[in-house]
Amino acid sequence: MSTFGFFCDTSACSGCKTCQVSCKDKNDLDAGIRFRRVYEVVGANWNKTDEGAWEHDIVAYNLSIGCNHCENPACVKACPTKAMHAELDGMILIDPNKCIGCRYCEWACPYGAPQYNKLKGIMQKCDFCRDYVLEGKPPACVSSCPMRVLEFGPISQLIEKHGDNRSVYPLPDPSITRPALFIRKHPGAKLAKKLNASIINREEVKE
Amino acid sequence: MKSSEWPLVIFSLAIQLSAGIMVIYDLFILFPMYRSRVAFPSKYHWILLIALGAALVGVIFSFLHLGNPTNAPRSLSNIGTSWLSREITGVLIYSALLMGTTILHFVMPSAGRSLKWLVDLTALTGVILIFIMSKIYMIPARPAWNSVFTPLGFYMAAIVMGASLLLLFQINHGSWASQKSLAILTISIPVIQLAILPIYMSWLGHPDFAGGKGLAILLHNHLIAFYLRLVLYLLAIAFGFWAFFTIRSDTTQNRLLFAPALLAWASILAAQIVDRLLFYTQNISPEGF
Amino acid sequence: MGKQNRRDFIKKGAVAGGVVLTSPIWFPDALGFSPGQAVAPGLSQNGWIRAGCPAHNCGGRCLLKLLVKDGIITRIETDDRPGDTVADPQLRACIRGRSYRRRQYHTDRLKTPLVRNGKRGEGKFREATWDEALSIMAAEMVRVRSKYGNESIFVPYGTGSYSHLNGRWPAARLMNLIGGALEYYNSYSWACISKATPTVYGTTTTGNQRQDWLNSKYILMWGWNPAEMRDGTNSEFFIKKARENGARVVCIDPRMTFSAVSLADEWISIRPGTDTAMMSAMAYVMYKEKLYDSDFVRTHCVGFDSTQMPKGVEDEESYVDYLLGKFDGQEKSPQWAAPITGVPSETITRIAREYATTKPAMLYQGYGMQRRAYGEQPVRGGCVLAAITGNVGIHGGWASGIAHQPGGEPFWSIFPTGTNPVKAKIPTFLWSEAVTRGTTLTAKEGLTGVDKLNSNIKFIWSVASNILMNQHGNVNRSGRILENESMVEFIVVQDQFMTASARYADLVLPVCTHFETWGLEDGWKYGEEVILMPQIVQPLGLAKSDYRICADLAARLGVYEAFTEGLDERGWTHKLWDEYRRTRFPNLPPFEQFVESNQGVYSVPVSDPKISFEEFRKDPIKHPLQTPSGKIEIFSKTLFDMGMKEEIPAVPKYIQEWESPFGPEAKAYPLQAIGPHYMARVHSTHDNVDWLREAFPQRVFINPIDAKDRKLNDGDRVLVFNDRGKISLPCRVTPRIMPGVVSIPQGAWTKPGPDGIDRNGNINILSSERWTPLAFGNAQHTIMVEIKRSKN
Ligand code: SF4
Ligand code: SF4
Repeated sequence: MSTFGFFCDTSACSGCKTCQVSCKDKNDLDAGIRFRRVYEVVGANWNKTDEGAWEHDIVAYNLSIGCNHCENPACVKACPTKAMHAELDGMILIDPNKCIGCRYCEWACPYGAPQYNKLKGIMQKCDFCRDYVLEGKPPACVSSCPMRVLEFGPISQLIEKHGDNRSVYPLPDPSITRPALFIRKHPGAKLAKKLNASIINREEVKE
Repeated sequence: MKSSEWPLVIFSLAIQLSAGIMVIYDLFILFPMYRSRVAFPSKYHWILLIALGAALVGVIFSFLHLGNPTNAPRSLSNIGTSWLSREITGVLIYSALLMGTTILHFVMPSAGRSLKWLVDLTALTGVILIFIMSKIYMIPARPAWNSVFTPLGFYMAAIVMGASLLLLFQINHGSWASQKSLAILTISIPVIQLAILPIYMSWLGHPDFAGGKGLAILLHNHLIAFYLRLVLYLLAIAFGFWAFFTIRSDTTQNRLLFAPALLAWASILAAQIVDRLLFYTQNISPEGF
Repeated sequence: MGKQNRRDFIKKGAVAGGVVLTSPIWFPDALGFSPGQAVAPGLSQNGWIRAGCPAHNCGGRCLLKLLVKDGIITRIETDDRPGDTVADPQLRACIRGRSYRRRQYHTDRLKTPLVRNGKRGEGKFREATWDEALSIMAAEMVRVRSKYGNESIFVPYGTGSYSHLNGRWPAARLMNLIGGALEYYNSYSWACISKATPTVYGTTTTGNQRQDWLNSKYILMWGWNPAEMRDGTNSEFFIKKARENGARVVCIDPRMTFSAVSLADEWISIRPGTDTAMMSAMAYVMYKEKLYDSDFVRTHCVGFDSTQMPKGVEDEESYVDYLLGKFDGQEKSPQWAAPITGVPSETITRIAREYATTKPAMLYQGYGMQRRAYGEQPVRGGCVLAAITGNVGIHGGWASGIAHQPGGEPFWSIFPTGTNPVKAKIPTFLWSEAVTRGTTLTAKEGLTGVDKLNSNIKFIWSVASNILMNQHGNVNRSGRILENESMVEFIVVQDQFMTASARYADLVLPVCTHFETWGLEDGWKYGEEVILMPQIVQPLGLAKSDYRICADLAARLGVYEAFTEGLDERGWTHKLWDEYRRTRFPNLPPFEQFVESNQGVYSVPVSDPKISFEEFRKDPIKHPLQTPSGKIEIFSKTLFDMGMKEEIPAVPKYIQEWESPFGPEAKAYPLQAIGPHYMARVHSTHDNVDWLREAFPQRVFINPIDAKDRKLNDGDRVLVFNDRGKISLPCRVTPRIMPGVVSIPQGAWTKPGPDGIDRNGNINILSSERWTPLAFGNAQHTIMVEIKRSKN
């Protein structure tokens, strides 16, 4: 169903959040509303050695996530008003005139994409910079990334270039929603799981 | 307790209280009378009014929870896939039925017996509605809600709130048998809730379940509420027993029932409120997204 | 939207959709799309205008594309030049550049001159006209000058503005026209590294152009964090590319920085201030295992072992003597270094072997470790490691040290400030000494040009600087000094916001932003580009450019013509542009044509990167270094002759810092605190920008082990304190910092609560005013603290 997707190279994302802010600038979002969020995944064990030095098993990586415009969007299913809907081109958009601000899509989305706008009383989220895409430009976040780790394009081409991997620890099982999010796994992802790594910058990604 | 989910707590409890009243009323009061073919005394109609009041409170609070209530009617437009849409539709149908039933009972008091099917239908709608409500929470993105514990909790809340309220209501009229059975319900549901709690907690705390985040939230951030709920359950059970042992076949002595029944009802209501607040703290994506 | 929208898409889809699906995918390297409705810069234009990021002396210089509507900037994008190759990459702005609208249109922008009408530092001001403000300033300047002389006037170091015309340069030019002012040398950034690098190499040009990093096979990022501090726009991207080329990258740092996270294969946690111990142990391993490049050492270096000691000091301690402990009885083995550095001895040995045997290899040292007590030592130590492994003067290697690019140092400002008639110079970090006891300063405290100062500092004119009450060591002390109106008699601060320093001013002058005036910038330390900064919107309120303020003041002091040479900001930009055309960038298009083109940036692609010391490497006799010996001085006789071998040894040594976890001070204050650069700020600029605070809130970062000892949970508000002061802020518990060390990103604005305790987390309340022995540089990162839960 979905035509477009994002790619994120978690092995090289620096966590600089330029993507997050370029998105806020494009969409005029107040602090507290983040269409794109950068999650810091960290797991570690620290031990003092007999020599009095420190040893660590540590793994850390960043995950930059907007809306994945899933092929099986939980939010669209959940929305009671059909404000959250899939366009013909697969983009998942919110019709602000229909939204009642029940925030149910916020619960339903396993990726934290829908954001509640308190002032407007409605939900908002990443729209793939639809206007830019229609002009032939990439979304604001993608062209902003100083590390060049974000990409945007038709799903088929992303899969061709990067393979069909849609998750990395601790992202949810992709079978839930079939996200149009393609990921290059950080080499430490396995260790992260073993170390029970978690998102440690919660205050920066959630209200 | 600080919670941004108060409107939802009140909404869900009010609807469940209403449906619980209808179910208990139907099964434990009307049904025995129906079988023994006695006429339904019209004083029972007041129960319908209470149930209707609770349902209306629920509807009002469901609006308070919306960011943009002016668009509320649109929420009926996705019953095809949205459990929330279904719930709102369900609440409206249920409330309408309940209102119809209530009005009919008041305008045609003598026809009460022949209107029992309407009470049956309303109660049945209530039962279905509670199921729909629980489905809203049973989503993969919120794994701490996504289990049989959710409908179980909702149904038990409905039954125990309904039963304890009707026990109170029945002080001067109910049959000895129905009073006894309501008291037993009032005792046994908290007992079951207490018994289930360790099972629920060990499920919630299982390391496979994202390192037991849900449990950690319960025990670290809401420990006081957690204990408060335990105490309230125990109180409810104690008052329930007290009430049980004051029930006499001689209904003239029922004045004695008043204090324990009231206390049992109050502690049950309080327990359910705390329980529901704790339920909403489990609004977590365990991975933290 | 809804149906309407869907139809829209289908309609446009016929056009745009075709492009979407057939053109190459929007991968970063295929961004060849039209720039939209581009217009030439100029006021009252609507559309996209390209301009340099105000930068404020971050490590980068990037290109912004600003959408202007009715005189307001409504959106900010970045460099979208097609291509984006390694030779000529896009200058993509970072989070700070992208959030600039929130600074530009911040409600707290200063819009009118302010005159103090309370006690100094109290923060009470009244509004004034420009005429009144400048008259007061001119009168005070004349009064102080005639009473104490020009030496008593000081325009402090400050890097808040960099566009040639904005910032302290016009002020310096004006001062030089009216008799001069007390001069400073050195910086808060690079004091030790710019002084110590030439003691080894005789020059500061020790780096290679960055494209050369792609030739390296092994990269040690030693305390270097390009992903967060942006040590040159794209530096992090080049390291990424080097890795793709097969380089192994190891990061040595007390914090697992974003660079360690995203650029490195391995992170080694090291105790701050002990880098030279690890360097020595690595050299020890290389020596013992004969892994060092003995040929190169023999032909290109002096002072490695006793066979190559300079004349007259043959019996003194050579580097190998130091390593083997011939004089001090202590072998500098990895086992010795492990408990000092916190790095396991096997790790030190392994890294020594990897660095010595993988060729070519880079040891890139960051600047944080030289803003410490004895900050000269790790600089020399890094250079020595690079030299003895023979990584000097080769492609893919790196000589370490400050590493300016060959082919010209950073230009920074070519704005002609003239010559200062006042010959006296102080080390910039010692300004507070010059305030309190200037006339007693001597060469021992770094005074140059004169034997003695005639006066203490009596007049401070602070332009684009937040040194006074925010960025200098020991802010509480600065406050006590500046409060005293008999010491500095008049303080002027020029800024865009009421900073902590501005609060201590007698006169505050509102300055416009870079978008409100003309200017230009070049690549900072790196980068072969010139970026135009055209005026694109009107100044807010009564704000003026630094240049205009100085010109207006010049008029009052009778040097208007000499100061302006008849030029306004645009005229000067043009003149400087021509200067670039004449010198560094001969192919730069003519100014007017470039302005018209709205191209924003001119860049020279680097496909054949230059490297330092190429000729010296080939023939050290024919192309000697500018050191006394003409060779790489592992042993520096110049330093030896200073006769302070405990603090300024002739070979790089580990010296225990004056505040350290191994000293008695650690009893009360057991934690080392460091103040790294933060993504949310450039030094103290941007601290009030909400988008940046949301993304990177000010926190003290602490390891779970230390947090547990103190019963702290993530997010708890804590008190961080030592004898110099207290700050209160929330903590972030993170394993990304080593135990025993806490990090408080530098630059948060001092914001004392009613009890005088800072609530915003300015680390300089805890840092010290003590300077390093050789460079007289700031040692602000050498501090010990303790942390406990805070009640408010
Ligand atoms: S801009 Fe790029 S590197 Fe920075 S956080 Fe976003 S995805 Fe990561
Ligand atoms: S790195 Fe510097 S110049 Fe580049 S966008 Fe960031 S603040 Fe501006």
